[in-house]
Amino acid sequence: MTELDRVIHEPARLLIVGLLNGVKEADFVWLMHESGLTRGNLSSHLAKLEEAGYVEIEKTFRGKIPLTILRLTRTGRAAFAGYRKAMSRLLAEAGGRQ
Amino acid sequence: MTTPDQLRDLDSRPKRYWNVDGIPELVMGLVWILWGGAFLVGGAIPPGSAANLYWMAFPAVLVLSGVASAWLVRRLKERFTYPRTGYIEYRDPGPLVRALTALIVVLTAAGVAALIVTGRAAGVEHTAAPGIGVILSLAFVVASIRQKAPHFLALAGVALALAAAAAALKLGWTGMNWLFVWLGAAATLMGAWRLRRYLRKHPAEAQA
Repeated sequence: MTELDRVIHEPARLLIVGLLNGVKEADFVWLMHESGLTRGNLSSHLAKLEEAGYVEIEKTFRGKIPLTILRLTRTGRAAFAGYRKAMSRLLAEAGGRQ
Repeated sequence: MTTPDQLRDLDSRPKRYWNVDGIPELVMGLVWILWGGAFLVGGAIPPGSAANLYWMAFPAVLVLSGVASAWLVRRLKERFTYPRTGYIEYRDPGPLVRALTALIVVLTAAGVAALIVTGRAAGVEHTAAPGIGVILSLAFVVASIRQKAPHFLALAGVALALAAAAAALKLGWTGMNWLFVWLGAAATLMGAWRLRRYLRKHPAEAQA
């Protein structure tokens, strides 16, 4: 387990990063619907991912409505790709041992 | 622990989101009705200056309808979908995918032009509509599997039924126009029904 990125490995954060990896950018509402996380829970995980430099958060407006745009940074995409590789390797090793 | 299958599922969820509201099918259906209808109207105009003018403007109408449909889908999604279940911007497909798409379009156009120039178009007159129907049906099946969108199977069935009808009735080139009109009508109805269901399921809410 030492190979796995601890920031991403947490299930909710893995879900967030995995979802953002498939898009160029998304807003908070989409991420909340797709992840099924509550507003507060999602905000706290996003703050951790932003702190790690994996997610970029842009607060803007669409007309008069506040809009929070989220993007995976280059570091975040690389970290997710690394996580997938490490996970596949671990699962292959575990399968080989059985 | 998350499995690679679960991670792959996460990758496909943005693609599935594109079809969540029925808007793409609705607009695609309207464009197909326009295309099929425009060919039928053009065929009904007696030869002369009016027909010449109509067919001169025709390519521009086809191109503009394609551009307008992309604009309309975006505007409808901004109006209905993004405020309800959120906004996403898809990743750039990359130069390889763009080049392959352009190549397929150019090769298809060249193939059609070659058929017309060499006079072999008449030979495929009765097989074109059934052939296109079968190709569209297969495309819907592939889209249904790849995007996990079972409702596309209904459109695949409609396309196949229309292909069979065009083959049985031997309608020639007119069959192709009717195929697009009827398939467009089916797609529009399905899109409208799915949009109505989506709007009922997701009442408007404020952005975060």
